[in-house]
Amino acid sequence: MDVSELKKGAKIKINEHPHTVVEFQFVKPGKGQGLYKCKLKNLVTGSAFERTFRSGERLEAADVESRSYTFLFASADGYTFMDGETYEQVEVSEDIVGDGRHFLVDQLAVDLLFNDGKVIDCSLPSHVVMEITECAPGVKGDTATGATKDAAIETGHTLQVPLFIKQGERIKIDTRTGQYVERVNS
Amino acid sequence: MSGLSLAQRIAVWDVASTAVRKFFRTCGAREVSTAIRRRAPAIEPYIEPLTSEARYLATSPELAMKRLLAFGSGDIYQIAHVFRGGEAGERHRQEFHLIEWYRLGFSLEQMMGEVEQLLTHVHRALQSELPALELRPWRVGPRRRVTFMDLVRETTGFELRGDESAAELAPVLTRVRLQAESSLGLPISADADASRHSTTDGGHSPGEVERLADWTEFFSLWSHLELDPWLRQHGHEGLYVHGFPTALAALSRIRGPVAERFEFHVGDLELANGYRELACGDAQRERFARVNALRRREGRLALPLDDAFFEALRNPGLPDCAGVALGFERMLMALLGCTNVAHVVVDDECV
Repeated sequence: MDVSELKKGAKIKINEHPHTVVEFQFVKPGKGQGLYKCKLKNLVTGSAFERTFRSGERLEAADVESRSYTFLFASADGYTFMDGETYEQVEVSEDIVGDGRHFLVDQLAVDLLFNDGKVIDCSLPSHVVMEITECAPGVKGDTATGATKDAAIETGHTLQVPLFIKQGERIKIDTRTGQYVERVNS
Repeated sequence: MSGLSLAQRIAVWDVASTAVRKFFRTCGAREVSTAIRRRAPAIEPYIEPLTSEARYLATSPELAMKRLLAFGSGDIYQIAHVFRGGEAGERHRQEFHLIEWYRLGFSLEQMMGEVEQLLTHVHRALQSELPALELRPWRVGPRRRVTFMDLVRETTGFELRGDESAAELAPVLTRVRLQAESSLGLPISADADASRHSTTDGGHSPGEVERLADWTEFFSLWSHLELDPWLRQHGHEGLYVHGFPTALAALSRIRGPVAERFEFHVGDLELANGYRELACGDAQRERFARVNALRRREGRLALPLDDAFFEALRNPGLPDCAGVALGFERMLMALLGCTNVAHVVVDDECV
């Protein structure tokens, strides 16, 4: 593709690896050549770097496809997901799943990124609702102080929650930051 | 400052364009509106015209307005819709507006003065008619003028005259290329050395096309690596860079080792380009043809030559004049302190 077709999130191939364009800046003096200053992330290694392209350059699009899979279970070898239409199962290693593993609940829909047939990235929805499996008793009325306490969720992961949260309640969590968002009334 | 509301943008556009018209009415310049679709566009190394029904959409109203001047229009101005392919970003849109005007008998210095007067006038109008609007402070008075060669010396240490051959420019071009490679991650173009060996350029002496290519590359890289940071530091009030290299004269006259061309910047935001206009039809045709040779060499389409334009320069001839093109949206960005052009545009797609 022509470099002028670059968009945030575009997938391009550099040195045989797929990369995503995290962000870019187009600079051009009125009568000079334009430059595309890009922040790129290697989707296989995860490394981030900067690279500049000249306007008029041609880039190779990466063969990268995102498909929706649902989470089935975790095992010693990895995390197993299933394609809802083909029932095809795929096992993804912990380092690809990353911190998202703390928020995987049964049947959770995720987007798996395939490059040349291999899963290179797993993205969760930005919020999940999970149950508090363990925490200190709720302190009624204490909504204003902002003080927090430890709580464990279904996967065993712990995070900070407001003092009024009780064991057994369901909360919404931001999967990008790992933080408590709000209590959910079931 | 983040985006203005639609109502604010409409008010700003209305007040600013009315102020522009009032300014030129006072100067005695007449407004014109020239055709957007042309048989042949202005030919620049890195400006790509869009097309419509076998015509080119004007990337600037320059050729049309110069013909009007040749045919006796007197001082004229235009708030022109222009189109430039492949230009999109925080400061660029494919479709934007240029305030372009021409003044008979003006020197380049007089033209520079008029740019700051116009901006002052528009600022004053915005301030008095839209008092609730947050404007960037604008000092009334002349802005600093700096020569291109002084800036090259200050930022690179190299002493240039402005009319260097490709061979003479090579040391400073090499330095800038290496700098681009290390600080921008910009690989040196594979064409960089290959093009030196081409022997034909459609009848142009390879030396002249190479000189154009090298000066253009130098300017493109140096602008971003050195000029912009310098302008961010020293140009926040507005500043003129003048005395461009002769290879980058475009449609301006050459005087000694430099072109009679200036640019006006507010910080690193380029607002305007001004010339003492080249009146020689043959020289202009030669320059456009040379740019075409460069474009072809770099794998881009050559563009048709506007023979009617060159003919008008020969006969009846372009009167002695200077001209400026000032980006309307950029002017608003500078006066309002907006960093994104989308924040000033009145466009149903930007609502």
